Amino acid sequence: MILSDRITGPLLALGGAAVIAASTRLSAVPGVRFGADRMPTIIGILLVICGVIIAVGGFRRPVPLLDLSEWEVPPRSVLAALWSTLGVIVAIALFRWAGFPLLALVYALGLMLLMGARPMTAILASLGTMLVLFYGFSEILHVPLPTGLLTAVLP
Amino acid sequence: MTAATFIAAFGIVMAPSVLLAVLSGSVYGLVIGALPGLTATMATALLVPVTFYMDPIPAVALIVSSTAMAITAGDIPGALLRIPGTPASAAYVDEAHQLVRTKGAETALSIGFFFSALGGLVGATVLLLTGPLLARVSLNFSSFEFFWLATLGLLTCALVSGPAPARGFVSLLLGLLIATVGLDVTTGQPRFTFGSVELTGGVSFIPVMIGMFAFSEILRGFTTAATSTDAAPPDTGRLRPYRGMGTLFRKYPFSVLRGTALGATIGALPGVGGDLAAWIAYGISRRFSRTPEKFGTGHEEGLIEATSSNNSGLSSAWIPALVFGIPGDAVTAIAVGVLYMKGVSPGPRLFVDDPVTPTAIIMTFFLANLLLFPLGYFAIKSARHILSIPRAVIVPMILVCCILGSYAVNNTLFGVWIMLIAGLVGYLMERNNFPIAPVILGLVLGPVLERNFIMSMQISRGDLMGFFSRPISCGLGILVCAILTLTIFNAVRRLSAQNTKPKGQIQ
Repeated sequence: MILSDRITGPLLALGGAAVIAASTRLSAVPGVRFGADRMPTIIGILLVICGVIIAVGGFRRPVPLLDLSEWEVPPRSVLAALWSTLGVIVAIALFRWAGFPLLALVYALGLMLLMGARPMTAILASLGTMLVLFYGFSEILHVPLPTGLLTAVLP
Repeated sequence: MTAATFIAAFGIVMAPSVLLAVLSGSVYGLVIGALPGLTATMATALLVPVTFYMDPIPAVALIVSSTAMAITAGDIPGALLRIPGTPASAAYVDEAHQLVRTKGAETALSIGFFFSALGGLVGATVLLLTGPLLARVSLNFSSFEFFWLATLGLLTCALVSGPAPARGFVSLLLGLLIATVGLDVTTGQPRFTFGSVELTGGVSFIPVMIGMFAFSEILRGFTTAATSTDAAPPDTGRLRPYRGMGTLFRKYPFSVLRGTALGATIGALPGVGGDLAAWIAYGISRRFSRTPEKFGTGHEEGLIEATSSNNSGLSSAWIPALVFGIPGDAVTAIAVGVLYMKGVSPGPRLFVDDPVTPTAIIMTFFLANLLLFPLGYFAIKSARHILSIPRAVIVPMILVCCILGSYAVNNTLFGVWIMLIAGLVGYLMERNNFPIAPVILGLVLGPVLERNFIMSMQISRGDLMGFFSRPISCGLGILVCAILTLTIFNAVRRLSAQNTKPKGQIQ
């Protein structure tokens, strides 16, 4: 997704202005001359300057405001990208309830199949990934990973 | 450096945990580096969660060995498929591919591994010799010098990492802005936390890095903009690695010398890193070659110079990172972050208070680069098989690692959210020509920059001339101002040149 500099420039400048405005709200600590607001204010000012420079360049070289041509790919690739992104959100939402092993298995298996892996290869690879990562992180590295729905199955 | 320090450091490096870390890091780096589209920085980013549970030296050894191997293994897809495995190998990808066609895969891949290892060893020697000396000099540095060094590193990184300075600066400012989230470094006041308990501790650089380097790269892989990796690796036949390397070394000694010297010098500049060294070395090799007409047709000379500069720069990029605490590139920024996590603060005091630790870290470079010879042998032998690993299997595995790695930072899902957002932002930034490396450098160096800036302002009581009051700080300040002035001057000149052209020509 390519945005024209006519959009990114003003957006950056606006973002910079928002940072400056937010910095002024940081309450001053009595007796401290250079407080928490100093650095963000400088960053905000520089962001506004960079945003203006990029916007000026954008108006000098007019290109389409939004270019989505790179996503003109087989539907399978678009689905794989959506699975990768939305899958993370679903995994976050169901993490405690479903548990890491099941989510990792479904997430990896689905993506492998969408990306064109052979079913048997995908099943074996996703199962192997799940087992190695789950036991590696929970048993060796002691990361508390929820087992969720598979609590009764997993040793 | 005393003999006792050297022996103690050698003892640490020879510990089984360190040797195992170097070996596993090398094998891991070999696989990631050889797969097109998976970069050395991504390999390093994914390793960080694993380093939580390790001692400082094995943790750094893991990072060093995986990076050295991933950068070198990037030559495999470059030579065989004409798809650079890493940004550094893009400099000479055509030359290597042509060499495969004219003299076979054996020569091209052997040059990659043999001269990379050689360059890496020279870079490590430079690091070992100059590190303690520079540390002794920088012991007298105050907040003014450290402020200018951090600024110089950030400035050069922003300038060299992207096509347009303004875009590099935006990336840098984004990193610095993220670094301001959490408790203020001087007053302890909450800043941009929006009432969130998780944000009070700041934004951890690990999920940001995993998102920006791994998740965004994989998203980009689904688009047409990504390089096609469907090309079948050519039949490499029976390979005999490293055959004829001695002859090439005797034939082009100056190329090896110049490449390693250039790599060591460029890599040591704060904010520049090793990637740029390969591009410059290849260009210089062509410029000063007796047979420049052979370049582009599969000529060994440029390849030797560029590959040796590659790993030499990789090692010397650790000079500013270890000596000043100012990382040279994204990989060293990650490593510096890991060292901070382990309670090891890189900087001149480290060389005085605990000289064994930095010496042991430097020694891991020798180990990692020496290991390139035997592992390179097997890598060349099995190059075709490594390239045959289907992307459809590797990518989902990496994504699960991204989720797990981000979760393991604090054992909370907040890290996974950060990774996802950073990944989407990173994808948008990359597609719109905003470089990612300055974001990470800004994030890691932000607190260092702010602390030294505020401290200097307090010392000089708000007088900006105080930043030029000491000789070294004055020199560094003038250098920073000169780079800025030159950048602005070039931008204005380019703008006025465009104004004089007819409108159609500009478009």
